[in-house]
Amino acid sequence: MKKKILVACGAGVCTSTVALQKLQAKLAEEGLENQVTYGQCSVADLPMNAASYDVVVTTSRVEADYGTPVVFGLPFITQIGMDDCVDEILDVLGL
Amino acid sequence: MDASLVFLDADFQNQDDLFHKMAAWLEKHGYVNEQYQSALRQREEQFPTGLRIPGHQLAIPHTDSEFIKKPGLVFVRPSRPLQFLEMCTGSPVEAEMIFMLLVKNKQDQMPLLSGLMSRFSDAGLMDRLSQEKDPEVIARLLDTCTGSH
Repeated sequence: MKKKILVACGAGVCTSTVALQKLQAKLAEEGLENQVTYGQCSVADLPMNAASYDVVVTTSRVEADYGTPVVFGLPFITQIGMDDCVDEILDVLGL
Repeated sequence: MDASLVFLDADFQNQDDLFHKMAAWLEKHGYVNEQYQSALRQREEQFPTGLRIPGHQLAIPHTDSEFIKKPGLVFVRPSRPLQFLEMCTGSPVEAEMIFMLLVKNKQDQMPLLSGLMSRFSDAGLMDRLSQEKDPEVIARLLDTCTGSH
């Protein structure tokens, strides 16, 4: 089964799209593009959507527990520590 | 990009003052509607946009496209850093460069945004943006990272 990654930001448009593009590129480099699928939404929609994903990657601060592991995706915006962040996501997914 | 969207050594008391004055200018010049200012404030409060990169602190305030009439990238370098909160962590950031993203259409502008954010790790470019005195040069530098030229 493909692992499902949900990328979220304030409106589900701006920084989440940048984070999603970088993450997709990184996982393609690792040859994992066929093992994952992606979704994108706003933080406001996380309570509704998070449960059907294996990991949530967010560029916004979230404190609620959605029952799905959350990884902070700030490194995809600043480009600092991006590889560590990808490793963290892969760890959560068991890939 | 248009050098008129580059604001250097502008005097702002704080983030509030920046949002107030910039929103007024942008509204007057047809870039945003009258709800933009309150929408921008609300968004920044809820989802702060401060960023730290090696040697510099920045912010990328933005809000929904429904408040934007004309797309653009606004570069503000205030005369002294303005306090923002960091994205994700909420810790204080003293922003010395502020990139206001006016996103009207996500599809059209994503290359610009991802291009810009990809260059936050380019220390040479960020140093130049923090020091350059000619708005035309800043506009050209920003064009090179957003692929507009």
